[in-house]
Amino acid sequence: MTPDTPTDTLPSALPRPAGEREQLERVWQRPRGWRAITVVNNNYVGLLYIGTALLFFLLAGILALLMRAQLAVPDNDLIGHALYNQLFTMHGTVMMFLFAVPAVEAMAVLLLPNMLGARDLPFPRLSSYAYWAYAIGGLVFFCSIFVGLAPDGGWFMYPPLTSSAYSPALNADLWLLGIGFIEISAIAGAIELAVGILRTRAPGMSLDKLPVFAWIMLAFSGMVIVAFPAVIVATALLELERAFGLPFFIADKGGDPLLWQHLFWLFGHPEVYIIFLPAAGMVSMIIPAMAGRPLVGYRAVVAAIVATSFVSFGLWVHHMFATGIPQLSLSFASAASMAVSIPTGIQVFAWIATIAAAPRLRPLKTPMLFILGFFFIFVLGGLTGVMVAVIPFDWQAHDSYFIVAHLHYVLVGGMVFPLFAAFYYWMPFVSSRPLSERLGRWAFWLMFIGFNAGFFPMHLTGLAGMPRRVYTYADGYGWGALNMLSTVGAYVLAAGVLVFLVDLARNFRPSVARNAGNVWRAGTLEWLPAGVSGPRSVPHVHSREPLWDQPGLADDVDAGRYYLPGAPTGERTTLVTSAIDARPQYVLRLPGPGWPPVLAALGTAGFFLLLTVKLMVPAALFGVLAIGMILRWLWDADPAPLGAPVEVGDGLRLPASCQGSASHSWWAMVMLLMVCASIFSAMLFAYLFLWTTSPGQWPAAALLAPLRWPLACVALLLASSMLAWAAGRALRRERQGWLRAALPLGCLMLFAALGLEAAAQWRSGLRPQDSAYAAAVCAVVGLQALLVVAVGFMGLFTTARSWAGRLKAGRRACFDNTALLWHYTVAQGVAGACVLHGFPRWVG
Amino acid sequence: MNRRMHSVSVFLPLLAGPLAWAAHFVIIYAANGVFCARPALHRLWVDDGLAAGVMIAAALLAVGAIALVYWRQWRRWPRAGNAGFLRWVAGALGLLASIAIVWQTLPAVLVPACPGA
Repeated sequence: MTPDTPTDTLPSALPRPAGEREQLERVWQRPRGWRAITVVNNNYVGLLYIGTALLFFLLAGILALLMRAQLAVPDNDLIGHALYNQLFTMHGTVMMFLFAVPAVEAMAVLLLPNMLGARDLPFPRLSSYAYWAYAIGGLVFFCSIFVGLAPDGGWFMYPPLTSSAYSPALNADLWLLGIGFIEISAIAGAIELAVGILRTRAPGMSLDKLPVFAWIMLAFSGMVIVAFPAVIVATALLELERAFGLPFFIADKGGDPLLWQHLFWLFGHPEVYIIFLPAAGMVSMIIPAMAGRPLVGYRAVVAAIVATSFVSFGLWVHHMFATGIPQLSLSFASAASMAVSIPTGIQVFAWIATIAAAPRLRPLKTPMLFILGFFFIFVLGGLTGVMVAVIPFDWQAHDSYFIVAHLHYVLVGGMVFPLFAAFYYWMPFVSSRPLSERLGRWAFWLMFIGFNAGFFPMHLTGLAGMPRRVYTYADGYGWGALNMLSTVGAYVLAAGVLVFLVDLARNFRPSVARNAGNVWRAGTLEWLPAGVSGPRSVPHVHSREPLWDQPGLADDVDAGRYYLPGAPTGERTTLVTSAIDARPQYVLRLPGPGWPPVLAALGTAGFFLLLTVKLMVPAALFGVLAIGMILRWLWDADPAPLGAPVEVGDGLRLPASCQGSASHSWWAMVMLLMVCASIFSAMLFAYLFLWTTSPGQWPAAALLAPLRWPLACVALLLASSMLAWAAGRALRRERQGWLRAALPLGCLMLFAALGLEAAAQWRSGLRPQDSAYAAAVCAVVGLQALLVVAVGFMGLFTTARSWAGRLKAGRRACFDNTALLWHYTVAQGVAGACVLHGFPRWVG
Repeated sequence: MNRRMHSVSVFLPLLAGPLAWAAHFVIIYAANGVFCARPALHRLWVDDGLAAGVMIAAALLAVGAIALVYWRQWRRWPRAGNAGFLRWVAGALGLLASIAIVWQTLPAVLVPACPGA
């Protein structure tokens, strides 16, 4: 029986063997007692994740209430300017980095596997690691405000204000190092989601049947992979400047504060779409379910999602309209900012059309109320967005409260309201009781009225001249009444959130196995009856709303009549399918709970945070913990092959592992390489931008190292690549001896090439602190050094696995991943050498 | 895994529109940034109209590339699921990208490239 032809007989015949369901539940059972924190199942990690994100929302909200209290009346002295600066910086930073992105990522972690018909995400330990790094790091970061160490340079931390000259204390370093590693956590999550969406779907769920939320999280992952590296590079460069005096942003030495702005906003603008698109995806799931009909214009919405995710990368300069960039360059960003409203509008019209054609919408339930609120607020925010896309208007509104109003209308309207709709909508999926309709209405109306009362007046105060980030204002301006209204509105909004919290306390009883069920009569797979393992069997789907179009699906899935109705290997497993047409390909053996990811996260968080306060030895110890635990975790990864294929349905046997370019591990590694390439591109951008603004710093050809140096480097790099390739061939032929020699030797060559480059630069007189040019060269070489160290670890680890008998021709994921990063590092090294030694000669 | 359809051979043509848009945007933005930062080149870039010429040429190339890829891919979309779906989405993306390319090239003929003297 081929799995991709629809048949009358279902994949697995009844009756199912005795004990099959019990074995499945036993294998998926969560750890109890204090071991509970070692949980890796997406259901639990997802819930922890959302809970933590919600906690940060409340904490940052309280900071906002304090600010509003200070601004309620003119000339107030409730909060001084120093604390106020910390308040608005932390409010923005926590909301954007610790609430918004984690919340939408958390919803995906929780919902996507079930929505796709998978049992879990493909890398459960990675989810656990990413969560704990975020939770521990974020909470410690937030506590900085209690000791007066909170960053105070604004959430976007512009130099020169945040350079050591004007911000000598640790506050800025805490932001730079703290946020830097939280972004790493987000990137890990994005890679995992992308691999899950592309490769672990229910058979038959071809791309045209993918739920809109899955399309959006795929776009989200792509955007994170391309955009987050820009802010990682920016934070690294500023921290290098503060700690070691490399003058990237100091104009006197050829640096440029605008470099920070470019790098930050290249991340920062896609960031807001990274936040908005998942919320829009949730809306696209909720409206059809509440309306009782499929989404109108599914194809148009998919196209709109992809278009938005790309075009949003062209908008970053619209945050810099007032910086003196050439007029035509500004106009490109202005044009793109207007253009991006088209695909957004397509989504809005699709939603309106679905509502208009709805067979069942009345009486309006709470999720729909929040969605209608989202429409009103977000569209208003979009309109003011198009207003400020017009450059001359932006010159009037820039850095005024008009912008504060705009950004809150799009962010609160575009993300918070859909998120609350999602809480009310998906609560029956995670809880044995849904939330209350009555309390939901109270929460909605208080939040809606409070939000508009709070933020609409800010359009007016902004146009009346009130600047942003001021801790008080004089009475004579006449802004007092509007500010008081804003403050009252903010507290009403908070009251609405409080009602929601009461509702949560009264009705949320966490349980996926015994949840409230499909109370909305929705059509997508997350509403299948599920246990701790997700669905009892993995269904074959024929449409986008399988529960509507395949009668009896829920019962058949629960009876075990589809794929993988048990745990055939005695372990947790899920199906891997092909990316385009979702044909089953192999069975993915998933890990269970364990300590290494949690401890590795603790080590990572501790390392970065202790570095900030310059406690070097403790930081190093935490770093050792992190690396040690990661190695321990990876030592158990890629288990020994089972030898025989696994039965996933009557007559259908699939392999239990996959080697080479079709494996999910390879795909994740390729995405990681895209992240590395994006980091390198951002670094090259910094180099080329500094050349654009300070060309005089670039040395004449005579002052550069002679060409034989970079040529030797390139030769060493290419030789190491050949060694790695040869080691791969040896592995295929089970000649482990060759591999055990080739890999360490190749690593040595990588280090030698790096050393040669560093020596060449040093000999030519380059000193990193002298100029922005020198600093940029040092940064490029430094990035190469990071990768070489990583490859060194991986190469030695692979060799160790070979010695321990954990590397074979049919068990080679470790080698393949190492080889991928290896060849990338060589390519990056060659490209870097060409730029550092070729570019100055070309333009000189 | 018999009939391996490389995902890249589907996703790349699907994304031809947005990729062409991105390439066009990077080229015009970088070119204008570098030329405007070199006062010696202003006469060539601004007064002699090289800016507008380069940008319009880049726009024509980009839109042409989108059309070429779409036409070449017409019969090559995989049949799995709904063949029309991938073709439709690729076409819609190409159209949206072309509109954005034209829209962001318009300033080249409306606005002076570098700040005035």
